[in-house]
Amino acid sequence: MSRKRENEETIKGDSGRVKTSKNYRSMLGSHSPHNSVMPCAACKLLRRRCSQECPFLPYFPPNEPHKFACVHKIFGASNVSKMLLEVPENQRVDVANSLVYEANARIRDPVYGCMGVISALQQQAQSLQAELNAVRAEIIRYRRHENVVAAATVGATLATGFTNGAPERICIATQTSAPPHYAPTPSTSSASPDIKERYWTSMN
Amino acid sequence: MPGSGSSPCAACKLLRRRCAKDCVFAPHFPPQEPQKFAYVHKIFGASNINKMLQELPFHQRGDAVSSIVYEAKARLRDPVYGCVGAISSLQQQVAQLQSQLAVAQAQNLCMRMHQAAMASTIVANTEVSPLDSAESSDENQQYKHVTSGFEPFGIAEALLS
Repeated sequence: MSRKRENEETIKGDSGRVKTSKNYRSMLGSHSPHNSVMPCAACKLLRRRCSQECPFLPYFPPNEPHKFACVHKIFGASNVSKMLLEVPENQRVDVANSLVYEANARIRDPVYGCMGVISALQQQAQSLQAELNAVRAEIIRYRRHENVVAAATVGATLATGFTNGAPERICIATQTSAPPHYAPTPSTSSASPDIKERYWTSMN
Repeated sequence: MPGSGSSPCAACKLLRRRCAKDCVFAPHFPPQEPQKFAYVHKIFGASNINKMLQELPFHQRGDAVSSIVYEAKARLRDPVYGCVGAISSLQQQVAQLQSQLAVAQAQNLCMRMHQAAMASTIVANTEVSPLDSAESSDENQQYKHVTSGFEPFGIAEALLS
């Protein structure tokens, strides 16, 4: 059966009412490239009719069913819908994506969810900061040692030069640049042995 | 404490239902903290919280509730990104620290090589004979070339640029 004939066919529903092919197509979806005629992933999962005004349609396309499945499991469809509609339209993509991220994190780690990710990143940042401080301290130590050595070199060659009577031909290897001012970067997360306590105390 | 007839937990109070003895919410949402449950109910919904808690062993539910409350508060504070905003900024911070560390390690390498060159220069200078001014002048020029060349720094300094 050609697609044209299929589209023109009218279909009788269970109640005997004649449904137009357009409505039927919107329920079942078609191979049309326009998403508006295909149910979104949310309506597919919820087994309901997807309309043009469906709040989930732009953010949960039918080809990514897992996206809505995870937010539905954690937040629920009505909560997701409320959260999407509370923000301006241009921000809803970010809302949807962040909800998907949070839901996935919660599914992966049912106890800590995103808190686990935050905790791991904080620990990583602390460790990097400590390593950075250690390397910078070593650089300062080397520079101080270099200054001492350079001063000793100057003294030795000066003594050699004066003995020779030609101080202007002295070869001096000195540090010409001033040592950099090292201001340790304050750690944005101070040592907090209990990450959980810090967050939950500040939040509660 | 488990819910009793006289003091329903914050969840059952909000949901206006009887707080049973084995209420899942009662140990974690005491009646003195009604806001706590209000936050999570607004974002996750009571039934989803119930399901999440029931899937966990009892000793892990306290931590789960705390993290859920944190996420709910973060989402209420930032309706667009929630706690993912904090994750994003932490990831940026980690990336920045990693690049700073790479630069510092390159500087350190540079310093070590410089120190090695300095050490060899001192040894060479102390061996110079002061007797002949012309000869010492030539040798000084030679050493000047050595100390000003700093060829070994080329690689390390390239890392810094």
